[in-house]
Amino acid sequence: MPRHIEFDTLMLHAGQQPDPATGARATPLYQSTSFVFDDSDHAASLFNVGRAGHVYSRISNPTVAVLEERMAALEGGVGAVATASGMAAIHLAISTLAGTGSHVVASRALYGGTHNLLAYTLPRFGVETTFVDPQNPQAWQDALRDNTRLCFGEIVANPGCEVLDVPKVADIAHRHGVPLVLDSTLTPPCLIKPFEHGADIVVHSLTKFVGGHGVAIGGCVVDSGKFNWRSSGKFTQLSEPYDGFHGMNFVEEFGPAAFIMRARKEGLRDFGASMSPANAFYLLQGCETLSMRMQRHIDNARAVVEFLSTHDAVAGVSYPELPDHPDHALAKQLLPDGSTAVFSFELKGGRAAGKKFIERLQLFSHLANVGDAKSLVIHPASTTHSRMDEAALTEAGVSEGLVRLSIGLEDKRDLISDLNGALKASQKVAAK
Amino acid sequence: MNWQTDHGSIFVYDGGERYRSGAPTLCFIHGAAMDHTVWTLFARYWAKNGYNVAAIDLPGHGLSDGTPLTTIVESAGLVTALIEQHLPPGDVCWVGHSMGSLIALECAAIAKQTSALVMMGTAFPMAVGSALLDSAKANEHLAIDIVSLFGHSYGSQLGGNPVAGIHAQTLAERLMEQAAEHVMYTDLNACNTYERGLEAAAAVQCPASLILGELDRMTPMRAAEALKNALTDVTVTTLPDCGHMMMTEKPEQTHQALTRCLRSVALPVPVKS
Repeated sequence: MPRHIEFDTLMLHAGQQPDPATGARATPLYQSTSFVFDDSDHAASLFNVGRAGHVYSRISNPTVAVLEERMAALEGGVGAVATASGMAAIHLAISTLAGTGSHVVASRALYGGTHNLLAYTLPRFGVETTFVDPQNPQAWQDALRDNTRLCFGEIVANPGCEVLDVPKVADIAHRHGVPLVLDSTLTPPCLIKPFEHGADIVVHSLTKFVGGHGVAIGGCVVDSGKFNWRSSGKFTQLSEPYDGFHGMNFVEEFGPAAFIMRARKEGLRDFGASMSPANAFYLLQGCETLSMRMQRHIDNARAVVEFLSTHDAVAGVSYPELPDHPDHALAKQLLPDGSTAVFSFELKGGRAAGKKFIERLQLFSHLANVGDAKSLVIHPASTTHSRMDEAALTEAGVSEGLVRLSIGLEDKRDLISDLNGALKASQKVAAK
Repeated sequence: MNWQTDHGSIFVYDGGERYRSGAPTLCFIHGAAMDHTVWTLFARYWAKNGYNVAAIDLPGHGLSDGTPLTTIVESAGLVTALIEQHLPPGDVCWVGHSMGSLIALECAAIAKQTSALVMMGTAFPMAVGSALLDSAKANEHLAIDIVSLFGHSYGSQLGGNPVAGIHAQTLAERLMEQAAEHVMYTDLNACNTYERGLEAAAAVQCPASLILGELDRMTPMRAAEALKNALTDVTVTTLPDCGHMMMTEKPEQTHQALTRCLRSVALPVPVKS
């Protein structure tokens, strides 16, 4: 019996054949805004979706399409759309499913940018969100309304590392006839395949672990193709004719690919937050080594967690693989190959100690990113989560002494040495 | 649109265009455990280019009601009757893939106004291995895996699909997963037990075209030899580097091959296409 092609092979090859025109083995960078039609019949048929091909790089591009198909293959989805950023991916997913009068149920433990979008920006467009404790299934259930159109969460939340019980929340969403949309940025598909646990749509910030190099911003939306839009009855934008595309009925015409086709034909076309071909090219270079890098990220993270969790200057470490983490058992079940390499810890000594700690670090870079090959550090309360009020910060599990680390690929001995020096310096300030 | 029949409501995709009197008809018939969506690009193209298009969901498939019919002959009888009843009179070209190619063959043999027959990914006999039949009968996912892996060339499993962002192999698996229990088995068994292939081929009066995938492991090219010999006016097109699922693996090459078939029988095709 033949086997499906394995993950590491797809990571290198999915979505691409050697270029038939030139023989190029690497994916060529098609840095072109638009593509010449063979003749007027070809032009008309591409506009009518009667033949396959590229028209204009806002809607599709050959280099970007390789990355899209690769992410679809790695996640086990029917298709993907690449976007200008991870936030653009979240917006594309939500705006394809929800509109004025819609409601979202979302985990309250989210990346600060996502919280902004849901709490402040989308209400201006008539989409409301109820934030719930992600660990409380009853809270998800109780927050559902007739006009709820999706449930949204992160598999491992940023920065507190709360692990979402994906099968349970998916079941709650499905019983209500809505999809579960997950941000899996911190848990790339070599760690977990969310569709195998019930998720319907996955979004990524590819800027992070998938790219890994920190040189390109990008995101993607991946469609499992499993959600039954027709029987749900809540998504007429997918199951009824769409005037914006000559009466196209996406469910009738594209079956399991209805959502992802609508996301491209409407969301990418009209909002235009598409990925540049150059960024797709860079992100593909990173994607080729994803699982190998991720293993090193995890190994280093485990070593750093072990060091921090016994250090006198540290009040606590939030990492799901630690036995005292509330989601330890769930992480073991859902993420047996490693939970993530982004986590936070509580530094003793308050804000002054935190400031000194970050300034004393030499290898760790103080910046607003995660998932880079290089190790990173940030103080969420004053940066990524700064627009949250105190109550929202508390709900999101962000305290003033919380420090977030993104563990890179350096030698772990150098990382621990750097952290050790900074921790000692921070406590001298705290003692004054 | 939906047509009411004794088998329940039957869904027919028209390619997004209304039917016009005097236009030729293209009837697309899908394969085992599939549905009309495998024809979407083709249906949209030809509906815009002068044809009345009917991509039918067989009973129990896709958006149609009912349970799957158990024989190729029975399916062909239903499809022929639907086309004669609902489409304006005129030339009909029957286009089928895999199981659908056998149904198209029967349609071409019995229908009155047949002008062309196109059989894609076809074979006769269309024997189905016991491992696949048994797993399909038991409604095991293994049956879907076998069809998926044997149905796509290795290159297509890796990807490079010209429809941006779509992974064709996973899409095919989802389609099969959405089919109700016993649909795949009933379809595969209908293929396996169909015996009239050579008789039907001899009865076909119109030109026929076989479009075959060079790397097809479900219906290997050599398995179409008997059909080729039995059809009196036949052309064969081989799609390089292509497996069994040619409409989604190599949509552009399949489009070009279908265009050549229609042109060869003097049916209208766009200039320079």
